[in-house]
Amino acid sequence: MGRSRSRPLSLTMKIKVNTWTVPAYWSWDVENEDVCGICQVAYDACCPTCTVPGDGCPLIWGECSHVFHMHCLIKWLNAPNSQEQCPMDRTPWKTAAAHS
Amino acid sequence: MDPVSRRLLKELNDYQREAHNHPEIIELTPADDEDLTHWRATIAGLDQTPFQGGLWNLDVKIPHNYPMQPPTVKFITQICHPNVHFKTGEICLDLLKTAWSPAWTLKSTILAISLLLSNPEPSSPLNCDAANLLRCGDLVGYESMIRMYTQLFAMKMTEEDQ
Repeated sequence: MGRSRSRPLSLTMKIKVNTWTVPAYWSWDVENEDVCGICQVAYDACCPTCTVPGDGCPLIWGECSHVFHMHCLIKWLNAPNSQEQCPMDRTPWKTAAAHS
Repeated sequence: MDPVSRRLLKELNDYQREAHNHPEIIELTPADDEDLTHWRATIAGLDQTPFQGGLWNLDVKIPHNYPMQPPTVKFITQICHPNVHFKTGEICLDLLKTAWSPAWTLKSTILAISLLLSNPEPSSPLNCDAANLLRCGDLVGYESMIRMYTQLFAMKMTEEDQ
């Protein structure tokens, strides 16, 4: 939106990737929806205040079956107008027992 | 870019992709390119309602901790409606206060305001005269008053509305 990042012009280099091998990959075990309903960022990415996805920015499951970035949900539950309700269905938030 | 701007940019992209699904929203856009926390919206009165033919501009201010806190929305174009203050444009809608949830977006908020037009709640009025007509069941009087003010305020855009 009107802001551009200046970029050194002479440092671009063309690389052709012939093959690549993935030693491992991970994703959160979430069905259906792919973004957090609070920040609208993908579950597999991190919440807006973190920079690295993964164990440092975990997801949290509610008994109501809704899933959020844990940091997003904590911020919401601490907001005075949350009344400690799930953002999606307004039932009192109860964290689900360990997800299998 | 800060988290609030990032979320607002995403909302802008999502809305622009789906704008054709929401003919009642004429416009929903940041008021200027440098400040994503101030938007403006224009809604159209739905056909078959006394608001038909009217266009209302709304001012949308987004708090620094959005979406934990709701946006502040008010009518810029004057409107006669039981739940809108006739002078200030302030809107009485639970969504904008106690019933807010971060699952709402600016688009769904503006759609809710558009629905409020034809679904007034006379038991929590900001415009007692309009609400009283509804409460005593004078639908003919209510609708003709709405139609008159729609024609008076919302049928042609004046420069100060822009």
